[in-house]
Amino acid sequence: MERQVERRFRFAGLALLLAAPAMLSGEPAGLALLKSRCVACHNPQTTQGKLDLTTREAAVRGGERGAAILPGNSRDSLLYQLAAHQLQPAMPPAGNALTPEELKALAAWIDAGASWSEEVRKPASSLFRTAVRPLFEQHCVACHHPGAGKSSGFDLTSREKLLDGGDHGPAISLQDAEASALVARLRHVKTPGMPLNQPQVSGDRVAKVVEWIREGAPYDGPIQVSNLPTKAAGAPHWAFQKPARPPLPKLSKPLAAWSRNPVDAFLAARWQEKGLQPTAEADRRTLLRRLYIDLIGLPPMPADLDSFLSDRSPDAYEKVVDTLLASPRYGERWGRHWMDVWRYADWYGRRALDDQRFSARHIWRWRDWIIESLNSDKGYDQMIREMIAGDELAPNNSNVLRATGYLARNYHRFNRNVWLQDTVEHIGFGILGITLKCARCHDHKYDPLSQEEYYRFRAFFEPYDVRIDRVPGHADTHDGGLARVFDAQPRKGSVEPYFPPIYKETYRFIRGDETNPDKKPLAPGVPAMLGNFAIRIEPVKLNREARIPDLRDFVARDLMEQARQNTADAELGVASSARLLEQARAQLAMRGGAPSQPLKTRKASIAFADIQPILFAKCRQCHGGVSNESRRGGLLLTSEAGAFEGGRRYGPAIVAGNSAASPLIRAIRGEITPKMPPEGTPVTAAELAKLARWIDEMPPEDAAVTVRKAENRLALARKHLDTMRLAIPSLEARLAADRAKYLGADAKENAEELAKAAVQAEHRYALAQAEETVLEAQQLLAVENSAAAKTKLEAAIKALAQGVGTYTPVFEVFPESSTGRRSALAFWLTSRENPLTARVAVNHIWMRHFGKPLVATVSNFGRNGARPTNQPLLDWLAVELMDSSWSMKKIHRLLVTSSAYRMASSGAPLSPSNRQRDPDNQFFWRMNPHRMEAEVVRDAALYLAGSLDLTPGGPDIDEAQALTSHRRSIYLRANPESQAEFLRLFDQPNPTECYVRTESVVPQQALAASNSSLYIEAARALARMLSNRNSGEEEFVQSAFRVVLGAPPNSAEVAESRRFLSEQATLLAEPSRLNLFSDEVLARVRPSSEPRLRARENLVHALLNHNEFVTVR
Amino acid sequence: MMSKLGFFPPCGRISRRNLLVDCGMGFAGLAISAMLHRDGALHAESIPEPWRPPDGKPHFTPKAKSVIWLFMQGGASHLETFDPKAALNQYAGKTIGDSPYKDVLASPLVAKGVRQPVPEVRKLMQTIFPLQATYRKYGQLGIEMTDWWPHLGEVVDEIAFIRSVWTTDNDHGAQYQFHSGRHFLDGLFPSIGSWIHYGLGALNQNLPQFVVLGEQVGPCCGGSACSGAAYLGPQHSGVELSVDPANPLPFAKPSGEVYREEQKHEFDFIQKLDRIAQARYPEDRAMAARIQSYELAFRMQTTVPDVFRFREEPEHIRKLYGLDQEQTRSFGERCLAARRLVERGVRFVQVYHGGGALSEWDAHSELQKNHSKLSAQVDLPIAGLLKDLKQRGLLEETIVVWGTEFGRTPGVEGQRGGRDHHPYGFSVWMAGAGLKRGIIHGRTDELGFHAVENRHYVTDIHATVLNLLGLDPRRLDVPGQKRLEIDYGQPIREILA
Repeated sequence: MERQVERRFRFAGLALLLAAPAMLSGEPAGLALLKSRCVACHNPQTTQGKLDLTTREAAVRGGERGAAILPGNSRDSLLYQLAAHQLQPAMPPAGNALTPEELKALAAWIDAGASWSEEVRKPASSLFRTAVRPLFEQHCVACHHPGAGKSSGFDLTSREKLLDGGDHGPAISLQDAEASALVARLRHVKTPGMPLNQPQVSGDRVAKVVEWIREGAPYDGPIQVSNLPTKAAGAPHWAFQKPARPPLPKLSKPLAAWSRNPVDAFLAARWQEKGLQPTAEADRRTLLRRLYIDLIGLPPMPADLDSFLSDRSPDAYEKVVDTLLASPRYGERWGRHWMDVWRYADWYGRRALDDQRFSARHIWRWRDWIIESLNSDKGYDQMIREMIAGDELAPNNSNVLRATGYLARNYHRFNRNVWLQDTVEHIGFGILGITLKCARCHDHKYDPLSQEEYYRFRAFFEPYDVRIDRVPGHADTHDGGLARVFDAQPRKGSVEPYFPPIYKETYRFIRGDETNPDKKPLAPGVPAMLGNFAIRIEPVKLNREARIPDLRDFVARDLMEQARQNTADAELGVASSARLLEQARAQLAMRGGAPSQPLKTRKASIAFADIQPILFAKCRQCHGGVSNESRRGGLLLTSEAGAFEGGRRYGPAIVAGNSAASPLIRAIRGEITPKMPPEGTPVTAAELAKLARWIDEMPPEDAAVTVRKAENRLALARKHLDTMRLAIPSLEARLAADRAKYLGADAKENAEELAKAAVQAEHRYALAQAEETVLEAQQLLAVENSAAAKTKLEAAIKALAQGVGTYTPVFEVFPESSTGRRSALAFWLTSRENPLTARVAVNHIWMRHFGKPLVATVSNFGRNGARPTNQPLLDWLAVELMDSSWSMKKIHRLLVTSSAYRMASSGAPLSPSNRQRDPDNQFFWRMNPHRMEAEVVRDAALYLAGSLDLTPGGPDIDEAQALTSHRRSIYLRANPESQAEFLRLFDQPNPTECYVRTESVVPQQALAASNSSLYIEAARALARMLSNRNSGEEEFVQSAFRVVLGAPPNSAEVAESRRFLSEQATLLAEPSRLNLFSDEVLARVRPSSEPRLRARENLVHALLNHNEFVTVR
Repeated sequence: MMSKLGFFPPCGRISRRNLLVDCGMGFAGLAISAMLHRDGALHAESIPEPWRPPDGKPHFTPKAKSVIWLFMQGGASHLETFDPKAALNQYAGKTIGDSPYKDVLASPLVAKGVRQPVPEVRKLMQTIFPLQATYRKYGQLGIEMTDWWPHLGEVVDEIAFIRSVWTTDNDHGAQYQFHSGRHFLDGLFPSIGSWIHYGLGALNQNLPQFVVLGEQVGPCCGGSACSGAAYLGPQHSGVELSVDPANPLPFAKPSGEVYREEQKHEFDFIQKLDRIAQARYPEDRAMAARIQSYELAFRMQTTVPDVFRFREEPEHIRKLYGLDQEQTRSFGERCLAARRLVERGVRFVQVYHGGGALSEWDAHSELQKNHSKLSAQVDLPIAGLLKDLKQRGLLEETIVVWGTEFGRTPGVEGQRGGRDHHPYGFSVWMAGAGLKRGIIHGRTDELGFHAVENRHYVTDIHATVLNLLGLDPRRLDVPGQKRLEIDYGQPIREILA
């Protein structure tokens, strides 16, 4: 508000200013206005709307909408009508309306005959192009471009804006160039002097600006922010210019001979400049292990090594490369890399309560899409497009829809703005390599990116929402479904059932504060610094199936199947309740009807207080009674009575005195489903034993009480069966009504009839439900529940009798079209004109092959980011990627078959002069050794032990099973709230944000590798496998080294190993003298009872803990 | 070196990839030889040795053995803690320009004292904001501090206050600066804890010597580099332990039927094999770190869980640290763990308060609500720690440091009673071995704007600590790693006993 007032005031000031010299010079104020406000866009060069306003004839002739000025008749002049906002588009555009005073002046001038004192606009002289524009670009525009925060509201990217001036008033005076504030600031006679905190520009340059103002300050076109120079060099920032394929550099003879492909040539060119020498090629074992781990995330088996070592053909290496790239393991390895960049996270929130708050259910389908897409070598551009707009590009293809998990992942239950923030900012970091984030609260401090542009970028995503589509075989979308995005209608958010708000418009949040939006709605737009090519937004019409996915045949089939299954379950419930009752009656009969005395004679050694911590730790989230939600199946385990009473549906959790028959124990043991606890840490053997003893020592229940409970239970089970039986016709009728409504074009009447029938069927079902609730409440003797249930029952009776109302639709119906915003953005992102996308992608790929990126700040290619250490190489690779249909496998092949990739990392003699000239290996004169990533540390041990389960894809595996499951690590659940401890210790990334992984060395890793059951089991299994094949100690040692470390032992290692085997066997031969760490048996593979074999297990375990096992050289 | 920390969010716990993927060209084998010397296992001919690293002995007679380094994340106001100013109440509501102290704005320090990537990002807060807490004199010497620290007030006579610290980063990168002495745009440099670890090594071979407790600093502001060792090598970095008696350390013992003797022998064997391999890669610092990590891991299996068995402590001690109260329990446990660690010979314990990435002390609004709550969380435990150290005689060999990244502006920020970041002058205190007790050193001006008397850059705190531990920072230097004059700092002699 304040700002608006200020603006008005300023404009009024400008009008006065214009009016004053006009009176002196005889130029009418209206003409002055025309000059200052209209001519920038309507001159012979620009001719917006084919209109030129620089001469009277041209103005009278007009543009595509006819005459602009009717001299003497302001009321009918188009120019006036547009300026007065009587017609659209309102002029001048972008909220720079004339003030009433100015309008009056304009009208007066037209009415007075629109006299032209001179030619309004001289053609732009070369002065602007040669002197002024470079000055502005170099020193001014970075701060003074549209909306820039530090710019005092002043913008000089166009003549019009320049004439507008800023918060401190007009910047130039066309009448008195020397007196212009712009000039005074450039000369540092007005404070603050400009450019701010920089040396004054030379007097000559300022003189040219003065001369140019005298000419009328003509522009030859607006100044593009994308052409802004970098701070240091004065050239446009490298990363905002489209990459061009640089010519191959000329190399010295030895380097040319060394070089295998352009990757080598570009690296070698830098070495020539820096005086560096390439390092010798790594030995073939090292090379093969490096290549395997790099491409498939698993080490080579001895057989792989042998076949490679014995293949002497010149393309032996290339053959391996092709085989590995064709392996399905490649997609899993590189999928994990891209999941870092794309922030994959399984859904999180209160998992035990099934309360999803972030990310999306079933998002693992996106993970599988990533893996499959990589394996099929789908283009990177295509992948990006499908991730951002798969629902618009292929609305009926559920395979493609999976890709939109990329956007579904950002779901944030509590704040729509945070959700959209993450979406915008991580596209910035991950795909574009720019820090859009900075511009959320203010104009970017380093890059020419305004805050408004940030919000325009957000506008692409403003309508998007997440939904779960059904998939065959899952009637309940909780159990199975497809998380995908779509453009929703604007709506207010609701709490129950929960929906986030979808805002109609996007606004700039002043200082990033979502409670303080600006007034002006913003249309989608891309940052000007990168160019607005390929942006054409057209709504996408969606067909019926995309709009109403429930119309697909399997949906009705699955729903009906579920209803029938519920009925069958209810029948089983009746049968089992009847059996329980029979047993209880038999028990009572045996006692002759006499009430049994509680057995106080046997003193329980375990009190409830002793087992409560176990129940609290393992069961409280479902059966803790904090809220209704945590009383699953009605079962409350916070007291002995609760456990004894059990759930209403499934009966008592414990059978006093008989742990073997107690459902609690049986569920923990997995004898009945679902196994308990369903998630989290399993109950240990010791805990289970304690629980069992507690039950076994418990005095049994009074038989008469048992009978009464069983009778109740049977009555309820019967009632429940009735309800379930009525659920079937209700569902059937609703399905029929829905189908008629959406499919039957010519069956309007029929549809109405079916709808009526559905109403009736649903009422009958509702009545049965109400009756069941009443019965349940009565049995519980809960007065409050009872009253509420009865009210519900009465309502149900009434509804059935009256037969009115509408039925609950089965099918969900979604909007008929999508805005097309996201596909427009996706095409912009993946356009060849986009300067960043391909560069950022190849930098990520490079980093993962070579251990270090070419641009150190992988998520920031902006002006505050690092410069590439080898830009020609980066650009060449970026263009190569685009020219190869964005095939990533092509790039992998190119990189790993280069001579550079094959160099040794360590061990080989490294050139001392290289080390002096480039100690950090910035220029890649050797390979970088690194530690296996967390997933490889886990997978490789399992793989070598022969126990890695290579089943691909499927739902995420509970992270608590990291040590017991043998699936690849990529399939283990990971989200910001929980990760497998084992992987986290080895620096598995935080799924919130990870563009570069870290590599630490801490004692906790040593503990994980030496003490985890995973490594202990793998060592035992592998040792036995190797022992079966190798009886002699020497043979065994040789093969163990080959398998685990990929290389045979040297003589010192053989000697040490043999000494260890013999000493360890001696030690283990006398177990009575040894002390166990603990009695608990956790590892599923027990140690060998044979001391020699057990020593061998220890040896393999030691090798898995060897530095050279986790190191990739 | 990847130097732009702020735009390079590390994703694991520790961001030292660059150190490890790069096998330590430049000063080959230093870290390894340091370690091997200690272990008497160095074969002189196998490893080139151009320079001899510290031998684990102090350079001169130390006055202290251990350090407990308490750090408040987000920037605790010096005004509402240990440097209250009457003038703020007197001129509340006036602009600084209208007060008698308008010259503080003209000080060249305003323009030159702060290093911002882009000038004028932060505005000076002009309107004087009254103190949000009452204050009075505490202790026999009548040291003024606010009433949000009543328990600390009881031990104020043990403390040496430094009211004239300054830093140059006006944003939370100052957290990194406070620990490394370098602006975070400069890149990664060793933290104070890692220098000490590097210089002095172990007092106790069974526990990590440099322990970090509490929530790690966020990636915005240095992350784990605040306890990182940078070019000194990762084995000198702080080890994060969780103050959870039930789970201080994952995988603390073998899972299933392993004999202690069996494991011991196997660990020895692993080390032998690694050392044989090390001869092939003498320059691989990651390898050296891994060898050391295995040695430590073996011993930590028993020693670390012991540290967090708070139940061993008598009731009155648990109360002393506030373990019996909801609001003080969390930080109280960290303080108690810190005592138990130094008692067991741990050299440097870095204790964070303030929620890691949340930087809770960052009171841009509602400072009163924010600081009164947070002070109440730490006041009792810190006072308890000082009392407990004293009664055990541990204060004779331990230094306790209380710090934060910067103070807060005398002027109000925004409409909701906040103060902005203020690097020009703020307070730090130290207590314990070799230090004067009950002393105020240095002074800010009447508004608490500039440190005006005995000004100290953050590395003077480092130098003081090093001095008390008997170390000369110049003799810790690593050839090829340039340090600036300011990196060394100067010991604050006036507070040394």
